[in-house]
Amino acid sequence: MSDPLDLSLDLLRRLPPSSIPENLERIVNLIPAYADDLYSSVDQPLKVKVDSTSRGGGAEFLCCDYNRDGDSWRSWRSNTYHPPINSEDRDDGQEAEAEDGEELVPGTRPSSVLRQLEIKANDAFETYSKLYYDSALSSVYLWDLDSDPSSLTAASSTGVAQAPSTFAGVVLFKKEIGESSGNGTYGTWDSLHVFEATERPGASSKSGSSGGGSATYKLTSTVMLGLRRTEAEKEGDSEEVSAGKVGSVEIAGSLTRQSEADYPLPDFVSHISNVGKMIEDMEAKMRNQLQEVYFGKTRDVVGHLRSVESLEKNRRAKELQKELMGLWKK
Amino acid sequence: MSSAQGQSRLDLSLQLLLQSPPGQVSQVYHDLRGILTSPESDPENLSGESTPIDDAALRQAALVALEEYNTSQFVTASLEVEGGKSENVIICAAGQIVGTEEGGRKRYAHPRAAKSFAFDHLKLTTSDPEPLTIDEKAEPIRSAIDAAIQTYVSDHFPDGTSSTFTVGSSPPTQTIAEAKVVEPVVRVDPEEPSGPKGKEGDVAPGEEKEPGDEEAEAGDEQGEGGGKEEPKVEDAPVGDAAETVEKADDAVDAGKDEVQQEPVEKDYKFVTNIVGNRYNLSNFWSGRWRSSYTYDPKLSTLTCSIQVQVHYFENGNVQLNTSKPCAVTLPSPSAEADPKDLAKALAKLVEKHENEYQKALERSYDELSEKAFKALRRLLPVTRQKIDWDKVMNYKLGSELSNV
Repeated sequence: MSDPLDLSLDLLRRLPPSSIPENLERIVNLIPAYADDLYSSVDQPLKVKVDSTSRGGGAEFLCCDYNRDGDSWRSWRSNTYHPPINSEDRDDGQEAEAEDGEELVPGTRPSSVLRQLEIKANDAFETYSKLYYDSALSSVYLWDLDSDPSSLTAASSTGVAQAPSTFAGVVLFKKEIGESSGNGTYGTWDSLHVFEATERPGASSKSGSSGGGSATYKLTSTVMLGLRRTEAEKEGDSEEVSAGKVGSVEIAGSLTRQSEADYPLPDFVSHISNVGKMIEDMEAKMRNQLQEVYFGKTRDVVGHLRSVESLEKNRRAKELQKELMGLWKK
Repeated sequence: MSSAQGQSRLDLSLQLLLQSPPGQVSQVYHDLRGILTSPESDPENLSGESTPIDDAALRQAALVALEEYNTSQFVTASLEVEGGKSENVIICAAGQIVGTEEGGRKRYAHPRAAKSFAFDHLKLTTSDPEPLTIDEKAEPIRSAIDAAIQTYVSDHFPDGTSSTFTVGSSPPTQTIAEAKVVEPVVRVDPEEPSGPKGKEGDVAPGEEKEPGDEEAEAGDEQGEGGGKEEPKVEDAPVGDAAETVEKADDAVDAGKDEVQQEPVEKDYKFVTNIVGNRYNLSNFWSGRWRSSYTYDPKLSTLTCSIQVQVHYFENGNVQLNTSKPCAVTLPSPSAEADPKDLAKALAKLVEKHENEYQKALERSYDELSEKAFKALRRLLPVTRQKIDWDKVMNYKLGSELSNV
């Protein structure tokens, strides 16, 4: 392992997860030639931006490397980049964005068929977010891959259009609780699900019935979870009160998992429920794993470092138990 | 520009090195070295000016950062003492002997054996042990605290090391040796890794050892329940405590022969540092418990700080970081009391404090798990059923239609 990118990823697997954005910047400064590779391979907490266009209505959208173009991020709400790209040749930029002549505006955007799906997906995952998170911010971004046209057609704003047989997307959730400073509990959850959907050729004829095709999905999910509890000592705390205070405790980090599955695809819009089911299962699984690692594994290690019980007492208890077992066997 | 850039690239690297998790400095150093020396990372490509960072420059710079890292992390090393035995020592600021740097190697005190020694912050090795001048007035209290804390540590830390230092108006001094004999270096752990963890360290053969290799290897070999002898920091058995006190007393006698200033009333303080390390890198975890206690006999206060760090990195990277500062005024302690009674009382206090801290940490775990984690994301929607995706899609469709 001597590739600078691999070394950087190994490094970031060891350094404190709560400082990933700062440390990533440091590494990018060390090897600027790898900036793009680094940004696309390292998951960072999701950024929140405000879409101030008339269609965006001042609402927030989530940003990650997948909706980034240069130093701008595309909002799913209005399909516009923030800040606008190439602002110098765009005095009337705001106007141009609000209209449908989007091809004229710089920045990558999904094809119109995919864009229709993107809007529907955002609606669906907003519902998902309400059900699982109460109030998390969610965003879905889709993008085209080189592909043959699908056997399925999809409705689009310009009428009936050919849907792509393969595309990719990302589903993002972000939630924060508590105050980030001062005493108390603070928590952040950022989840990022990158998927690739590919229609299976010839699958539709297998099932016999019309529209009975299927698709294969590859999913890579990362959850970044940060939890902090602060109980600082106060002036005038009695010794007993201050002894019971924990000071500051922070558990932060991320887990990444992958999965692959096939689902039936009766129509193009079914991609959303297929990906939805997959992400729902994955998040359930990862939530359990986070529970296990955060509150099980790291806690066990603390127990390995120091024992609240007297080790000497434990040793004696074990010896006694052995003795008793010996007597029992006789 | 070129040298300034080279400098700042080194600075950036050292900022990263200082964040190494327990027992993994060597891996972090290795990664950084690879990044800095890779041809693609040479800024020549961008600026047209070459600022190569060679191994020597990196080592030189890392030495300074590693001194900071090792002393603040209470890194442990093995020191050869009388009779071919070796003891574990803690490298920390309280033990550093001021003004004794030679060739980049600072000297540190190991008062338990009345020794001072040179420490190589890159290789984590001790060398060149010499007698340490002991402050007679403070020594009875220091050695009593040291022994009492050692007993406590061996009763609560499966892999713990502790050391008590006298710090006062004058820092620890060393006797001047007439002739410097460079002794064979005492390594923490002798061999290169040969197992499957080789890729972890990835040290090219014939290459000089990198910092933390020993420490990390010690951890690498600690297969959980692997039945292997863990080459970990050895706790001195409880029975040894008395012996060390005697040893220290001998050293006091030896010290009398040295040229020494008339002892004056000093503002002594006693710094006790405790470190418990467990590394199991083959099972993707490592951890470190550090605590530091400063006993001030004059004010009869005990200032303490505890820090716990855990790194778990199987298919991810999760770290626990805790920090608890605290100051306790002792009930009715007196520096005039019998040193052994005083030390026992202090050790009891430390034990109680750390037990309560650990219980508070357990409560925080419960709190974060039961409240914060659940508040972030439910296990299931309120209906206790998974989402009916057809409904979700139709619901949206319905609401869209009703809007028309």
